[in-house]
Amino acid sequence: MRSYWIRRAIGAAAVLLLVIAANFFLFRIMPGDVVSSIVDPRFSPEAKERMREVFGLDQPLLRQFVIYVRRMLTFDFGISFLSQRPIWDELRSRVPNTIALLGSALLISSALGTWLGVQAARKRGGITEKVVLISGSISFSFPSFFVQLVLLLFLAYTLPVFPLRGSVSIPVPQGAIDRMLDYIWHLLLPAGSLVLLGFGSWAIYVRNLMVKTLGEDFILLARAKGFSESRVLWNHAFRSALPPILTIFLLALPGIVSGAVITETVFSLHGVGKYLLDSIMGHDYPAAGAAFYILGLLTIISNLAADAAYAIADPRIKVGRRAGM
Amino acid sequence: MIAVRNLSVTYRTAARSVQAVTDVSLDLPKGSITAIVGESGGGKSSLVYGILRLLPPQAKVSGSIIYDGTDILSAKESWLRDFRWKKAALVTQGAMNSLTPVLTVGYQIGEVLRIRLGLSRKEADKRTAELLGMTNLSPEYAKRYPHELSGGQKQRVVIAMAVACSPELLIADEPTSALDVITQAEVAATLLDMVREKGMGLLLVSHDLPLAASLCENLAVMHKGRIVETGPPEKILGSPSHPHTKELLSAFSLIGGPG
Ligand SMILES: Nc1ncnc2c1ncn2[C@@H]1O[C@H](COP(=O)(O)OP(=O)(O)OP(=O)(O)O)[C@@H](O)[C@H]1O
Ligand SMILES: [Mg+2]
Repeated sequence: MRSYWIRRAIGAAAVLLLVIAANFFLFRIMPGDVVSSIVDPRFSPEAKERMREVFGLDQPLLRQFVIYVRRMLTFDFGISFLSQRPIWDELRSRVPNTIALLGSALLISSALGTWLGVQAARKRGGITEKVVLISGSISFSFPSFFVQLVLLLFLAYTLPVFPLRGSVSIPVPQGAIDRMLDYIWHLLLPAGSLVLLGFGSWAIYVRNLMVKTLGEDFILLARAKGFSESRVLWNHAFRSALPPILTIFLLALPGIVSGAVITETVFSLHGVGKYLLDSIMGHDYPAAGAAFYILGLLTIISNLAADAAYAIADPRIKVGRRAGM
Repeated sequence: MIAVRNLSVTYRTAARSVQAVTDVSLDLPKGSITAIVGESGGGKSSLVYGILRLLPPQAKVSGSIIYDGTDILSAKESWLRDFRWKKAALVTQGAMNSLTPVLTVGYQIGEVLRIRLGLSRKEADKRTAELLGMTNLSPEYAKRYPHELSGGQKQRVVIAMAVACSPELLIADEPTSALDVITQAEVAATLLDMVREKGMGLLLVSHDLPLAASLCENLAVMHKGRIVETGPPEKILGSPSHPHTKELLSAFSLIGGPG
């Protein structure tokens, strides 16, 4: 139903506004002069005056907020204190890296975890179930930066199979294919570590869901129909367990922000998360705000996509089918 | 014909083990209507699910169930898959959620036709509409999801699905027990129409002794895992020999049940 999408869109817009508002107020309640957290203290007095005007700092708070919202929506984030360059110019090149890292990690860990969970649920008390449950609990109980540092130490330093830092080799290899392979090579360890840390909770959750679903009456009936075990497992059981699995996918998305910051920092990736941390360390508040906003935006967009998938998977939510009801 | 011989079923759980069926033998001649009645927990479902080898892994089963010279209980997986639904189909207890919640009714009936009978999607759609019609549902119900149907409608869909492959035997485990009285009668009538029309055998599990007796050719009374009395219904109702049968009968005359 259309009303479902309208509700979702309003919800997304509200969250977006919340992120912007949080940004707006956070950097205004910082200790010290309001101006100094928005305008670089090292600027000349004339430059400061100009920035005051640009940011509307002399105007009432509400007016400032409206200006702020408009600037966020048009990606007009101002000038970085640290680099003196437009912030969006610096962020733009980082966004694809962050999407590649988090997107691949999220997709691979959820797909792998889901598959393992289904296999574990297949035979209760079997060896597969034990292995999945044990490796799953190990996977999700380790602190991520620790695992990542250890991996970096062993697989990039002691045993230099993977690069120590960065998103590309320097100099950058020639040719599109070589460049892509180089990119993937740089991505393998950070994304791999996120998969290693992330698949466990998926596997355990999906296994529990599938065990419950496989006990349902319609599974008994699907078996009675003489269907193959894989048809029963995937077409009836997994298909029915899919909506709650997608719910977890939705809940996992906010973890994107912390995942990006930690992973990109440990592996020195040219991404939005590392930019966020660097900006905070350098007291570059406009840049930090912009990076936080971009991560929030990525979360909201993937949230909407997961919502759409949920609506398709669960017929109890009406999407574009018979109106009313 | 299906011949159950010395069937015993024991459920083993961590805490204890329950003997649900004890040494039961029963003949189900082709095309005949057999009814099993008895108290709740008497082992009726355990017996009939055994025929499709659908008992859970914690159920230990002994004895044999012979169809066409093959023991269902020890047959190969592939033989079993072929036997299921084509030779013997199942209508589950009305209270159960027998339909997969995320698939349309039409898909689920069509799936049986496509996978088990090899029909094309188009043929399956056409046949699905016919099957829904036979169970007094309009073909439009094919587009619906289970949660959009009433209990009686769902049970009709399950019946349509069960007869899709024209099985020799229809196993119906309390097919109407979760429905209100009027719907019960309608669904029971639909079920019987289908059985008579197609000449299928019926194995009916029921709480309703008078109803079961009125339509079956052979009646079996089950008590504490054993068949305590079996024979033509008029003989059993006329002169019940086992105390449990008398108990069941008096329960019905007390509440003034039909028959
Ligand atoms: N999966 C199971 N695990 C353990 N015990 C079970 C299981 N299924 C059934 N039982 C037990 O086996 C006995 C027989 O159950 P069954 O369901 O066959 O009876 P029934 O005659 O069909 O009862 P009803 O009329 O209530 O459906 C009961 O004591 C029941 O508790
Ligand atoms: Mg039962």
